[in-house]
Amino acid sequence: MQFYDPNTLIAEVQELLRSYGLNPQLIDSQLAQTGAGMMLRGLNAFPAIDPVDAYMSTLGKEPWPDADDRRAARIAARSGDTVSEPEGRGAAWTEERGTSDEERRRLKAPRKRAGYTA
Amino acid sequence: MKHLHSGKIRDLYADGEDLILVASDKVSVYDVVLPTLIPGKGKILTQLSLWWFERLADVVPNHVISATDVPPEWASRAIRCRRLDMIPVECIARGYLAGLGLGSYRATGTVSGVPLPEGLAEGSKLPEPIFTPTTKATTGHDEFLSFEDVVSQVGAETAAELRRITLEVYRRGADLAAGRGVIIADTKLEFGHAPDGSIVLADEVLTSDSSRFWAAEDWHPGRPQRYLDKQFVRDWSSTITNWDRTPPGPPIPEHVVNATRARYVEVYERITRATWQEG
Repeated sequence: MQFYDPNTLIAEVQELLRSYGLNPQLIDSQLAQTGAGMMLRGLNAFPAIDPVDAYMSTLGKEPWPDADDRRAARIAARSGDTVSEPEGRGAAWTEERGTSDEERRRLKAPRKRAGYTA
Repeated sequence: MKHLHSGKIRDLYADGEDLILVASDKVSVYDVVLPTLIPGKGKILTQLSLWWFERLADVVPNHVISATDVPPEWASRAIRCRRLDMIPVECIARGYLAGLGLGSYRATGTVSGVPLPEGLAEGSKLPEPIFTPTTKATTGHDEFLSFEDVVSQVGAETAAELRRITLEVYRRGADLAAGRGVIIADTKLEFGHAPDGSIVLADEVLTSDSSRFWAAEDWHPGRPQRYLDKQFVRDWSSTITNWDRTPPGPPIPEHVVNATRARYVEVYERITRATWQEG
């Protein structure tokens, strides 16, 4: 099987589009991820993430239940609803930080092992 | 041994082709890691995860190579793991309504495209556990995926296996824990492909850092549920008024540390029915 990281593919497509003078924005992560997976499978490459990259992402986040609570509270606050958040100031801070820092780093230094065979 | 990454709660090392996940005693609130440790937390959660991996081995193979072949300074808190090609889907099973699942239900009556009956409240038990996957984005946040989205992304066969295994792991764990006074409201699992293409359970499993644990005796649908283990830290942190909730966080008072540690031990002992052995 051969694998390629769909997140890397998305970043590389963004780079390509920028090189053509476009201004690509990741406005729908779910759609982009699904599309990247479909494209890879159509090219006989399976979407997968290198384990080191995957764990760095997972370990860089707060524990899953806390993140789930925080994001729910943020969405609820936006809609005027209430979902209990035992503590926290909302997911915005986490999400904004993740998007800006990590994306900048990735675009400067693309992963050396985005594609590989097993 | 090569240090690869220090996360909020756990660290990652490489030893040749193997990876070593090391759990610390750190705890976070407001997404800020606090300066005070909860002694034994890393060991307790690692041992609980290993306990589950063993009991779930007939459901799905796992990434554990060894829990003992690790440097002595990490004894009991580290797991030597196989490198897997990680599937870019976070596999979440929900048996109760909480967090993002509750938010989605209130907004749409569905979670990840799964329709739910009317009249459910915060903390309600669902008619049956549901599979509510999300993307596994390395930037930004994870988004709900419908099962059809997962099919599109990874193919029908893999998607069906992810759903089947996720729900079976959750059912097995939730049923066992329920008989021991612990409600596992939901859980997040991660999977990878072994070189032969088989699906392997990775990361951690059915710990309180990957699942919501509630005390069965305190469960009252219609209001926020109290976490079985970390509630003392949450309650204490909510009383702090002179902290702007940015790093560095304040030190945790000793009585909160002791109470929290006792709860982690209690969760371990309730679920495993074994006495926690410090070591």
